[in-house]
Amino acid sequence: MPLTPQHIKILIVDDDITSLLMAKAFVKREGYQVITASNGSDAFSRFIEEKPDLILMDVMMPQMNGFEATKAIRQYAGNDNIPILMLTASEDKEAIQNAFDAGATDFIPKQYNGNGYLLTERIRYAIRYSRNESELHKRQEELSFAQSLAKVGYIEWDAENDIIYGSEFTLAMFECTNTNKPKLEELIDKAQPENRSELLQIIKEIEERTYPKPNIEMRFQIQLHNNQQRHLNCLIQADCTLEGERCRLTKLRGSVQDITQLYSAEQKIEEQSTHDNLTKLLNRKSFISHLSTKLNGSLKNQSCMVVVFDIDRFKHINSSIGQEIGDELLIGVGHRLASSTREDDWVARIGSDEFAILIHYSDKDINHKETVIKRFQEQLNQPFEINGHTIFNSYSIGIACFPSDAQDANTLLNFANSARSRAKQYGGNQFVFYNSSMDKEMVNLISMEAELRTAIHQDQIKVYYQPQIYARDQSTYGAEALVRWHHPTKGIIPPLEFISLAESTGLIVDIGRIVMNQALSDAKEWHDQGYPIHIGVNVSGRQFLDPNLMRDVHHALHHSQLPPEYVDLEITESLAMDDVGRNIKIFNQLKALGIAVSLDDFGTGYSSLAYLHKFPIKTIKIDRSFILNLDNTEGQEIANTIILLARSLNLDVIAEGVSEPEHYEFMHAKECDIIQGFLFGKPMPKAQFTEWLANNKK
Amino acid sequence: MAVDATNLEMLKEVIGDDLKEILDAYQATLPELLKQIESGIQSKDAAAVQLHSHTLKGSSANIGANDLADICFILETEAKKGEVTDQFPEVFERIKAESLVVEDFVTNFLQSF
Repeated sequence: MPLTPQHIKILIVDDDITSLLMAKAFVKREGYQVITASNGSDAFSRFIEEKPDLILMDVMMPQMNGFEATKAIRQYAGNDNIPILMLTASEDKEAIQNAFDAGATDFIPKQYNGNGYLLTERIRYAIRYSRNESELHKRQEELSFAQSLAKVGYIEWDAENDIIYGSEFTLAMFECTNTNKPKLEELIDKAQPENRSELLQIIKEIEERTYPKPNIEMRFQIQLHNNQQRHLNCLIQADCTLEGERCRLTKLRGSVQDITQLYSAEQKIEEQSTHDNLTKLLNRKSFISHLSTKLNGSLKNQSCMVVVFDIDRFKHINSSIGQEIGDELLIGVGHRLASSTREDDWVARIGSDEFAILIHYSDKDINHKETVIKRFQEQLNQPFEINGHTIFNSYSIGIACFPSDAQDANTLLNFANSARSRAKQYGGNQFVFYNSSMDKEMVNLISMEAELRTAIHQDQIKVYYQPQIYARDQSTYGAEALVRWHHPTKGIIPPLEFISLAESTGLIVDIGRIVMNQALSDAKEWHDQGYPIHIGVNVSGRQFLDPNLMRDVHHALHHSQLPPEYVDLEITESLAMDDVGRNIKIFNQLKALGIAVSLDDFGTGYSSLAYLHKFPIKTIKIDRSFILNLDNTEGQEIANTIILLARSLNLDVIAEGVSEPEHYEFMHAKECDIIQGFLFGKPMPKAQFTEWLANNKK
Repeated sequence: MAVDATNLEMLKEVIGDDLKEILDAYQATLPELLKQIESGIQSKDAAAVQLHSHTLKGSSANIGANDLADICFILETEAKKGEVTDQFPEVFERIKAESLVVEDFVTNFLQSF
């Protein structure tokens, strides 16, 4: 709507005809359309009929005075904020106040002497202002409308005061019931726990300035009252103030959109897809279906091999070179596979770093299978050049043959996978052909798992103690607690035979708890008997990452009443170095309980010397393999170097596996602090250790 | 001076012939307003006196008849107090006298259109 006067209608209300005509003359001169009324109720009628864009209203009139007429019009017009300019006598303060109270937009002193400039200018300003207001109002309505159609809302979190700002519509997307300045917790109350952790993690990274992207995009999954799920996508920007190294978060704001439909479409696409998105190879589902079809059809009378392999230590590679390069590596492997296999052979990606291939072979030559696999392995072993990095991989490869091992696709894949798993157990970087004894092993493992569960409940898990002595005078330092399984029929089972099963099933957490509680209680007993010993307890990978670790350690300490400074938790070096940042945190938490942490099997892992000094440890335990090597000069040099390294970092050194007097002499000479080994005592049950303690005191 | 002639000339320049209409209207309503004021005084209706003298003040001021406007203002202020007193007729006489002067002036001025 153009702002030209010709299109603007002005209603002038005055009971004095002279004033009315005068005002009309001035206003018409500017080009506006003019209508008039000479009293309040006429004014109201004309307002309703003509819908003027502006009203000039005199204050004193008979039959509904100006203030009442203004109030009436305001009531009627509602949101439509039509400008009403009241004509008052110039110094009549009371009239001016009344005009304000009645809802007038502005007031003009009624002085038509001169050329009426004041009047017409005031009108011009008032019209422009009301135009802007209407525009604004319209834009807001349009935006609201568009947003509600698109199911998008604006949301803001005032981080400093913990207040959420958003329209009812937007808050309803989160199923948030409190619409009056809710806190962040209330907003995400119905979201998944993972969403909460993700958000907290993002906030933390923003404050530590480690968050990689300028904007945040994250999804929320909201639980509705009817148990269905709503999916929201948020695009958020963070406002911060810099405070030295950190960034103090002041505000999060952005848009929220309901993408429930999009999400279910994505799911459907996922289901129907046949190829892996990243590598463009076949996905697991389509590999199996292709295989099934072929086995029943054209391959019926031919032989082939199903090969499954994964990249050794891929997780470690991913965390050290970054996920982006990790992805490039996977794509690279996919490419190499696709180009090195023949047309009839298919390639698929069946897991995060797992691939499957169908390879044909001729059964005329018995050795041919191995040759083919070797050739295949050699090709994969060639380095990959990615973004300037040269990467060598090794692979665990498992093979199952058709028709000799199995005849259907699923079983072939499973067998090949078992073989792969075996290859991995053997250390990786090799291929293993499936054989039927693996089957038996699988069965064995399953029954062992059941037995292990029983063992935990039936008190078959025992703790043995191996003495540790001070190198300088062979006095008692303490003991390492070691787990044994007193099986009802198979006798005493050493950890080597059940620990990996315990780890993979997660039972290690329960077992670890039993050992820790027992060891600390026993240690307290020995303290009470006059032997203030240190007790070392092993913590496995799974236990270390268990969220309840702190709670369990604290419970064991509290229950046993053993002073924490006598407790040594032993964590293997390779475990510690796998995700240093996270692990240092966990170490610190444990230290906060007052206990000491030491690195076990030192020298065998993939230590980064750069990080070693960052770990809040007290002791390192030299792996027994170094002790065994002490019979040659090289071995001695290495052992010596490790000890010096530990000394320079102010760490105590425990030498494990000392079984010969010469070993002891060497360690003693090199100022190793503590010794452990068969020379001074084998792992023994509690009663025996008590005897040992008594004997060693003398 | 009864009517500010300079002001009227300026108005004539700005609004032209519309001024004639306005002056005609003034001539027409002046007698009516005087009658209303007089009637108000006679019936001791202070509110009526206030209203109409206010109106006459306004229109007179509009056309530049400032003296007349001033006297009307005096009467309006008195009437605002709520009571028609003995002073009122005297003030009204002054209003009537001044009106005649103004009327003459306006009639003359109208001839210049």
